Amino acid sequence: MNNNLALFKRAILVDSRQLTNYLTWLAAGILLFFFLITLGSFNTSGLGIKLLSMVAGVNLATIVLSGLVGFSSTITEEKEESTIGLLLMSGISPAALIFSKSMARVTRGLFLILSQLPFVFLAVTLGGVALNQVIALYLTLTSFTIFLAFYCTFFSVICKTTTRAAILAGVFAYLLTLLAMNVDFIGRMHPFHAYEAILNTGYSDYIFISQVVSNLVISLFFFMLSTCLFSKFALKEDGTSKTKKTSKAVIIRKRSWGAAIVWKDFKFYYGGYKMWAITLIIILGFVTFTFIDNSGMDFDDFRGVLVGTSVVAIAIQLTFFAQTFISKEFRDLTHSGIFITPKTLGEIFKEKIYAGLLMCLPSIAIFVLCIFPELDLNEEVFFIIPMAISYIALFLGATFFFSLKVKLIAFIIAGFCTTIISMILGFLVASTFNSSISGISIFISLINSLIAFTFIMAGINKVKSKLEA
Amino acid sequence: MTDTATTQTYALEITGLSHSFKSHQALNNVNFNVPAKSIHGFVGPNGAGKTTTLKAIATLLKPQKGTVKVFGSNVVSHYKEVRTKIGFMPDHFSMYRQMSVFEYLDFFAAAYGLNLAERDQVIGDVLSLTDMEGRKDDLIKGLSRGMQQRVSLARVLVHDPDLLLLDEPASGLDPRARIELMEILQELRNMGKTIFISSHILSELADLCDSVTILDRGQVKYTGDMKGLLTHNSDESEVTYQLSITETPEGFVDTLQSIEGVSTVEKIENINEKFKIAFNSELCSRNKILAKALELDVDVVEFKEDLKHLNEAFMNLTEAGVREK
Repeated sequence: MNNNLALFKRAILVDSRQLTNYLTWLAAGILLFFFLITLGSFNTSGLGIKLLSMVAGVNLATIVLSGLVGFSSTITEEKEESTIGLLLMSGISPAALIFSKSMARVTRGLFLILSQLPFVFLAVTLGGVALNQVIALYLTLTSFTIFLAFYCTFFSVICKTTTRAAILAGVFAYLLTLLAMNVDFIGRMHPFHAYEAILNTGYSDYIFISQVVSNLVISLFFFMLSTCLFSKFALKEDGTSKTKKTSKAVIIRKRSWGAAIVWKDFKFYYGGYKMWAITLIIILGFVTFTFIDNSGMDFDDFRGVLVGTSVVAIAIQLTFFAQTFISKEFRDLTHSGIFITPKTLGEIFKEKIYAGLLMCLPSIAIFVLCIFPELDLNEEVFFIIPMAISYIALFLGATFFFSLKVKLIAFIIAGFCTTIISMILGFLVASTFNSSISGISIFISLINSLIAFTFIMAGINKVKSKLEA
Repeated sequence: MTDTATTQTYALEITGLSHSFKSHQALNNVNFNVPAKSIHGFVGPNGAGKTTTLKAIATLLKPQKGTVKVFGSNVVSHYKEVRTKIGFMPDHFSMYRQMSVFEYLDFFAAAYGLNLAERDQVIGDVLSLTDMEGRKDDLIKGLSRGMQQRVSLARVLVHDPDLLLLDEPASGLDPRARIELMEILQELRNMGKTIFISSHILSELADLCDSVTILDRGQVKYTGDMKGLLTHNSDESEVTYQLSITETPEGFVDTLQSIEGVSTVEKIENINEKFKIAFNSELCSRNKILAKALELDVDVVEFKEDLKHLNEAFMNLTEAGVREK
């Protein structure tokens, strides 16, 4: 028992030292602050319930985003540090290990929710919010946090790395949400459903029973499943059995291209031609699925879906590229090999950018082929394009910079920064320009480009200092 | 462009090298040279500044003060040229674990600008040298630490550098892998390569190195050949010899002790009757001591200079305690 408590305490202490936790708190706080400013534009009664809805939305979003990454490392971080064996040797059972570490993450999540209590009090003060609604909301969030922690821990048990666990957890969470939207029985377990009921004026219960109970029961199920599978997956050594398998996998020897870094990044970081095939299959599969679902689609609709899916694919791939770009070299300690080849920093960066663009080639090609034949370059489109590109550059620059500081959530922080900057620019534009699209576009593009450039330069300096350290 | 005329015999010249990280002075006026085609040990306790020096040589760190030249080329102004001449193996494994051994070497050979034919040739050569031919299609992540170390060394050699910079290459290796690595390094020296090898264990390098530099708290404490280090003493006139005899006659110690200039005569081993004799070389000579011993009709088995133990020399040169910022 003491061992388990010590483990729980250690997990809490380690988590409390992580800067990302505080950044998440700060981000959620700032976001709520901005929402609070916009609240002034509502002239209706029931401002309290609107603010409570915003708090609930921000809480859910931060719990899901930080949880998918943070909770997915519960066991994988021990695997990556090779400390599982040591922990088990100290007399901690797999069940206790999973429970203690997951509950430490739950505590972290609850602190995140509780940190927004001042906004809740404000919502109550503004009127229209009853105490039972606040209690019901917090019970919903607590049960969902517990569910998410054990759900992610399950993936952390079966996967080798945190990245894989987070991706799998994210994909399945997305599929479950889709299912919840279509199947009523599953829908009642989802916090969205609970929100709909609780955040209505006149809600009188203290608990949204079906969501809370189901979330706790499913948490228990994932806990038991993780415990059962622990010895099969978590204790598996990365040993000799692998060698036999791998020698088969490399029968066809890949030869490096002259542009060696492009080859290496494209093949080994971004999945190479296999990733091209997967991208095409996903895009075309989604289009086919939509086509079957909506038989009345014409060619323009078809093209529209293609453009939409390719944009999503490009966004995901570019985000992955910015997040991986240089940080992976530092994380894998391979940077010194690359940076002492007879190439300048600029040449190395150039090759890495080519590799990223090569990864996106199929989705970019689909996007270009679908959009250009019908592109109407009127004044509005002409000015919106540079503005959109500047936002993309800002987001990618920020992701690149933050990826050198934090491990997995760089793109989330970058997304948050981009959102805040766009909000500030929105306020500035609204008070400065009289709906002149050209002026707005030039102003926003310039400011965004300047900030993106600052992020990139700060990132380059960080790379240089990391090389020297 | 390069002042090769004056520096041809040195593979590496470090002059007045200083570097600090914020308030922490990592290197303070470091000066030493490494002769070409030799194995040079670079020894110091943890935190002495070895890795910082290596990074400066490897062009990864721009020195704040002083100059570093590799075969006459300045590492700051001619870094591209220097990079073609050096092969740097860091203390951590800089490896793409998802590649096969062949792909890994092929990648680095291509990164150094070698064409396909050259790559085939050089990869075959380095695999043969490191005895990894049979594992070339294995994934790196499936190899043992010793084998990964060999692949890492092979990678360093793909562009045929003249100077190899090895940072703690033997750390974490079992005794067999360690000996095999040292054999490969000796072979490389015979091939004309200059090897600059860093370690925090001096005795590990004793049999391998021609010369050594000892660094402590960012300062060079000794640089020169190995023998010089072993005899290095603050009082240069004080010499110690070891005398082994088969049987000790009565009054032997007192007789030797009575010679002018002899400070101590100590028995150090029971078997073979071994004695340690310290004397002032200005007042006495080894011949005088030997003659006196023979006068006593002893059977001399061995009479040789007592080289101080490596660890003792290292401890004398370096300071105890944790380095302060």
